[in-house]
Amino acid sequence: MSADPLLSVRDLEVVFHTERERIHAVDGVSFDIRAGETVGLVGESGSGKSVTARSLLGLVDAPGRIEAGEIRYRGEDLTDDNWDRHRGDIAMVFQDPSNSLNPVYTVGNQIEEGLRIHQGLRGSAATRRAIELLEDVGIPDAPRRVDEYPHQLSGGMQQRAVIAMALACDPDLLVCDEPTTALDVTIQAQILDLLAELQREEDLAILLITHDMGVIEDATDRVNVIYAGEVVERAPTDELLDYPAHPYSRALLGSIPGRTAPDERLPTIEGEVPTPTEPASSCRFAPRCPKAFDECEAIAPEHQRVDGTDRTAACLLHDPTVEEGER
Amino acid sequence: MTDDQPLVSVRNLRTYYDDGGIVDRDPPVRAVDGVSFDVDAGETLGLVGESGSGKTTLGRTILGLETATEGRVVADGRDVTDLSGEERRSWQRRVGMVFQDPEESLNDRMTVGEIVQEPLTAHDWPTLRVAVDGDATLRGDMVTRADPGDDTTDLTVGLRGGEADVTVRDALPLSVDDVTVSVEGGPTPTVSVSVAKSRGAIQRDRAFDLLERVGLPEEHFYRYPHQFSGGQRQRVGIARALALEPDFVVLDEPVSALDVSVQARIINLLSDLQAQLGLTYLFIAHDLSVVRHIADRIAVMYLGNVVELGPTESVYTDPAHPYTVSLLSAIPGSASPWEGGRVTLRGTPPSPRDPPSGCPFATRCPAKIRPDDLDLPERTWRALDELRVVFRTRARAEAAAAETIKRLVGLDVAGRDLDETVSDLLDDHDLPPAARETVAEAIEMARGGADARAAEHMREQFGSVCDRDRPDPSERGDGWTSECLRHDADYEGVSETIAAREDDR
Repeated sequence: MSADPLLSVRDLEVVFHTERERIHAVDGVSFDIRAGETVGLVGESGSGKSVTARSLLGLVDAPGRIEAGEIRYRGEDLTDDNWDRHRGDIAMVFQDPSNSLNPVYTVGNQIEEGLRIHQGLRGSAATRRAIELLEDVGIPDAPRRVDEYPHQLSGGMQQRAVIAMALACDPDLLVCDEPTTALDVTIQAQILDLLAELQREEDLAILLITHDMGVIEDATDRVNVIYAGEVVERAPTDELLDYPAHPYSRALLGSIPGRTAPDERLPTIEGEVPTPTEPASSCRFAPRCPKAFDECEAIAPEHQRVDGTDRTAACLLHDPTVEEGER
Repeated sequence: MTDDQPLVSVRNLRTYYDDGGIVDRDPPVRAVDGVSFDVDAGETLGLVGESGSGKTTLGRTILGLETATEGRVVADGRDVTDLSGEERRSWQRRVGMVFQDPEESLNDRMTVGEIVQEPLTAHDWPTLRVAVDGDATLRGDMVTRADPGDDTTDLTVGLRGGEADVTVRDALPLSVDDVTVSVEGGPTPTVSVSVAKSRGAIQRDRAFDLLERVGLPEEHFYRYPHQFSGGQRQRVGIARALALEPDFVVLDEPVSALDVSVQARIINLLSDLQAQLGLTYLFIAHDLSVVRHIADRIAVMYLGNVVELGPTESVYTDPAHPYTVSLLSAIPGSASPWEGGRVTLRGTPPSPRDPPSGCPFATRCPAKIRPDDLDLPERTWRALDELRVVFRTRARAEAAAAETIKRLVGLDVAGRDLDETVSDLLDDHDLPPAARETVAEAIEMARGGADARAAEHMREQFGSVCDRDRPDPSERGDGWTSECLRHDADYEGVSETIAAREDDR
């Protein structure tokens, strides 16, 4: 693992302009991904995780716009309109494979398109490589399957084909947005195994976006917890699971059925995830937070080290400058 | 109803979908293929399995929303798959269903109040069941004589001392003051009941009560579903399902579309409602952690069959069926109760149009029994299995037009692809000469376009008892059954086999 991150996101702000309001979907998000590691981004719907993912590839559409911040890929800021120079270095796998594949082209055509654009392969050389890619992602009988249409593949096979399409660009970073959410648990296990194997073989970096803490636990090295457009906690995965430092991470983990005894009531978080229409001037979780105190409504918390470790949480509970008595 | 009698008994139930047109000679889809179990009053039975395993169809068939092809669903001594008219409507009032997707299961053109009231209107609710002590003739709109022995009557009229003494069941949005009872004397008195509130007004009040019960403020009555979040919409769906006071509710993936924090609140609400109203749930879900939390017993479905059924904790801590083992081991993270390594299943379930002839799980089973006369390493068996699946898949795929033409004019289209696939699968395996010959014969058949015969040939030569015999349910303990041939004492057990093979892989 090199010291310099492959991708470094700093203070990213993505704002959606609607007639009524400005929605700060991503509001000052920062994180790093190094070569060969898997970084998780976990949060509920509306937390801004998918928008973050799309902005890494320059795929934010109007009315959304990246308003501030940097996305540095190998040191070069992509937000200076450098996406085209790095198309193919970062590839994306979306949640629903049936929406990512074009139903009127064969699976082979779609992979070969990537091979032509990014690697200049054509004709039988491209077909040969497409078959290899399908084999790499574990599709049996690939020489036959390469000529099939998406509807002839099962959901799990479709997602494998989508991953093969992403690999056709020979990326260094794979952004996976809920790659297993549409799949059954046994198929999910297959896809997670596949991603881990590809990562080992190709030294791929993976950004894994999910709402599923189990997937985070199995597949990621480090994790960022995102709430209402802000990363609220950043930690090595096993440490987060052992000891969530931010009250939101704690509440999120607590509400998962597998972690509570069957006859107990599930702990819940009251209220709804707010839609951030203003820049943060207070902690956005404060209205739902069981630990909130007066200061939480007045200060937008910065990331603080947790107990002197490398992990950080954006919470006044971890801010040494806030007096104990005020909490 | 006595306590030891199940609320619903499902016996050998089959639901086939047959789109058999004149041209279409496809066999039917066997969505539910011979399922038997009981649902006890007051319990939550969890139903888990992958998509396409027939969970939803099973739930819908029990409620009468799909037509059963064969078998019975018995409630109160009647087969409810075969009801019509008033009997059918009376069964429909006793059951409710909550659907998966709150975005799609509510009509966006109706207000929440109208949605919750709709089942009440459709069933002309209420018709008040009146119990009168002693002999009497009953008169009035909106009333009917309660069956003798019915202990949940809506109105009770006592006739002692010439004055009628009326009580109204608590759950109704009616007070004693809304009801006027007059008695005309005689040896068999005539009791006339009139209700001051209109049916519409009672329905409306009932809808308000229901909203309150599911935790929605009353002003939501006038709003439209699109104004709500997923969790709130699911609450509306639950209120609608409970409108007619059912005792049995089928919940089809009720929390799958929701975020975890919202999911937790809905699960808690469902538990509360069950305790308050004495409901019985059939809880269909693919999320095994959710089912573990809420279900007393669990039924595991695969390809239209219930392969294992038992008390939730027993099944989770000591799964008997190899499919249950695979499912539990696939739960990501520390929520998985399986302590061994992850048993990753290969491939996808076979088509329910063409299920395997023996054990439905044989094509993917990590503990499949191998034939005695051939001793091969597990990885070679898996390669041979995979080759058979390739033939089966090819047999099912519609041949592309161009390919059919090439084949007609005698071009060897399948050949080159096939050689490559076979060599990928088998090149680094040592096959004994007889086995090698079988593979060569199968390839020859496939080359001639007979993919199905090739698959069949592989099955005959390399198959085992699992491909031939359908296992019977075997008793694992009190009310705990599993359908696997390995439960026979002649064979090594399921978990031992899986552990040994994972090491061998």
